[in-house]
Formats: sequence, C-alpha cells, structure tokens
Amino acid sequence: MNNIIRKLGRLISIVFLSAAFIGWGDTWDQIKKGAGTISSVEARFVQEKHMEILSRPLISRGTFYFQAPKSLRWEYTSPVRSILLMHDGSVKRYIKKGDTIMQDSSAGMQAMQVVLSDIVQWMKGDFNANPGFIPELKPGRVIILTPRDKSVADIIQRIELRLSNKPGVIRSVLIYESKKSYTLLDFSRVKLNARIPDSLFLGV
Amino acid sequence: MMRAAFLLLMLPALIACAGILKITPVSSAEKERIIKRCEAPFLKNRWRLVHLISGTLPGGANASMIGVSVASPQGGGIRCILMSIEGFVFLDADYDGALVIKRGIGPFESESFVKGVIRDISLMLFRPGGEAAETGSSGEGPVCRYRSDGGVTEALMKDDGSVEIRAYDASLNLMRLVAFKKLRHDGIPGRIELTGYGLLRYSLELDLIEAERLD
Repeated sequence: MNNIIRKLGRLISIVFLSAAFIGWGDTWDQIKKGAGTISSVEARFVQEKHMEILSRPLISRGTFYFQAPKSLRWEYTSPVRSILLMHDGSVKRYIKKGDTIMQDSSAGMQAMQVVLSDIVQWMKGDFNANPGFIPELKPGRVIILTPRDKSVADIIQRIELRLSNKPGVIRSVLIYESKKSYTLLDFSRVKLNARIPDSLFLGV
Repeated sequence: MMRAAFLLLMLPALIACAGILKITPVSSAEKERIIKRCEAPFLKNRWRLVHLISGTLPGGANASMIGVSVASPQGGGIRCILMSIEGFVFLDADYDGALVIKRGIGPFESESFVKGVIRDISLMLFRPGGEAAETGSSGEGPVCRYRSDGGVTEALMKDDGSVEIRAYDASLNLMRLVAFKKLRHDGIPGRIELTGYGLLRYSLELDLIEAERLD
C-alpha cells in the first residue's frame, strides 16, 4: 500500500514538474530566466560528424562541463582524447596520446576562443551576443542562428539549438556547414547546479 | 656537454645533408623479396582512412586535427578533408590530376599550400612512381630506390620492422622523411610520421582511427 502511495506521489510530482516546465522556451525572456537559474552543467555528449565522404558518421564522445560565469571544459574521450578549456577568458586545448599530453598552440585556437565565448553566452540564455548571427525562436524550443554575412554563411550555413524540457538546458546543437556536411552534438545525463571543482577548468 | 648539445641541435641538418644511400646489389630472388617489403605500407586498393593528425608547424606551434582521406592508388586520386576535433572543416579538396578546393579556410585557401598537402598525402599513401630503379642492401638496411624527373625516393627497411621513406629533390637534398609504424595485418600503418625539410621545417604524426576498404 505504502509502495502504491509512493508511486502515486512520484507520478503527481512528475506531472507538476512537467506543468511547471510548460511554457519554458517559448519566449526569449523565459529562456533567459530559465538559464539564469543555472550555476553549473555537467553532461555527456555524443558528436556525430556527417559528411558525403563518410559512409557512416564519425562518432566522438565526451563530457561537457560549464561553470557560471564563464568556465568551460569540453572533454573528448573517444576516439581522440582532447580537452578544451576556457577559464578567465583564456582558451587552451590539450591532446592526450598515450602518456603524452600536447598543448595545441596553433592559430586555430583563436577561432575556438570565439566559439567557446558564444557557447558561454548560450548557456546564459543569451543568443543575441554574437552580432554575426540572427537568432530566431521556433515552436518546440528550437533556436535557429543564421549568419548575417555571406562570408560567414559560406563557412556555417546555420546552427540549430534544441532546448530540453528542463529550463536552461540545451538538448542538442546542429551545425550545418553545407547541406551534406553537418555536426550534431547530443547531450545526455545532464546534472545541473552540482559543485564542479575549479581545478577541472584550469588544467588536464 | 656543449658539444653533445651542439650535435643534437645539428642532427636534423646532418640528416638532411646526408645524401642518398650507397646500395650494394643483391640476388634477383632477394631483390624481389626486398621490393615486396618496400611497398608493403602503400595502398594497393581504394581506402577511406581517418587519422588523428598532430603536428609541429613551421615556427614551432603545435596543432591537432582529424584527417579523412579517400585514396585510389590506381590513378592517384585523393579526396581529403581536414577538420578540427570539434568537427569544423578547414579543408575539403579533391585531386584527380587537377586540384579542386571545395572548401578552404585560412591557409587552406591557398592552392599552392593545398598542393603541398596533397603531395605529402601521396607520399604517405602511394608507392613512388615508376619501377624500383635500384634495389639492394645498404649500411642502414635493405633499400629500394625510385627515380623520377622530380628527384629520388628511397624506401628503407629498418631493423625494428618499420619502413622509412626518404624523398630527395633533383639536387639530392632530403625534402621529406616518412616513417611507417605499427603496420596492421592488412598492410595499413597504424602510425605515420612525416618530417618536412627545406626552408619551412615541420613534422606530422598520423595515428589511424578508422580504415575502410572501398573496392
């Protein structure tokens, strides 16, 4: 009997929580408000790279950490072990090969700084921060970012962000470079507002 | 101590100026065996290869990216994609006698730069053009030498079972050194190391992620 009551209670709380989430993600204000409650995010991700040249997508996996106001750790565990860190405005990438750790110091890291800064803004619910993209909010909690300039559109055609039914959480990111070349990042096992040690954003 | 450090610093320059190997002829049966081993790391069929590429660029910066190539040894066609680990494509190029850059960002916009990339890929994946002009033993191991208008390429068997390619220009200056390591049962190297000499020195390490035979 107690068991049935507990199950019923859980069901009611789920219904209540779902009701609370209805309406989240329908307006920019709601998105910003939802994201404002987030102090940290930890999530697993699967990255699928789709290209005409590949018979099946190239799959990478890893863990993503965000700590407000602007610390990120984007860690790939397979097939390549790579850690991208952003903390206090500086961006570093490390590649692990066996026991060796190599720091990437190429010019490409400057581009990554721009990309990571954009992601930090998205985590805060701000999709207008990059003036290079026009944000559009579509039904079903989908945000489309379209480049303003043709020069950018030649590199990235559009970005689609799908928000989770949990306020402040991005479920997936789809980056189209062309019709046949795109990257899908799918997030799962999301933990919100857990304490993440600072050391995770400082080094490998 | 200072002398040892000086020698270490000068080692790459000494290797680059060492010149081609002195080849001692061998029996025709031994010659055939050596040629087979020389050509073991090169593709014999059409393959799709995915590599993690880590490199030290001219100027000393380190960079890592993912390379996808579809290569056909018959005809020498190469489709090559270079992208960041996060999946952002810097280069999408097709070479089949003529180069077509479908997408090139930053240095990969330059046709001459991409031609250099394709030349390096060809050196790593395809056996040198023409027949082995000289085959035999050398002080460093069994060797095959291929000659073309552009220069000389040597394939050298090392004691540890790996194969090394040395590509010289027409003046016999060493231009590229390629080491094939961790050869798999299908002949595809698990790791390729390339060093570029000349005015702009750089080195690349290619670690195989995936290989798929396409014919």
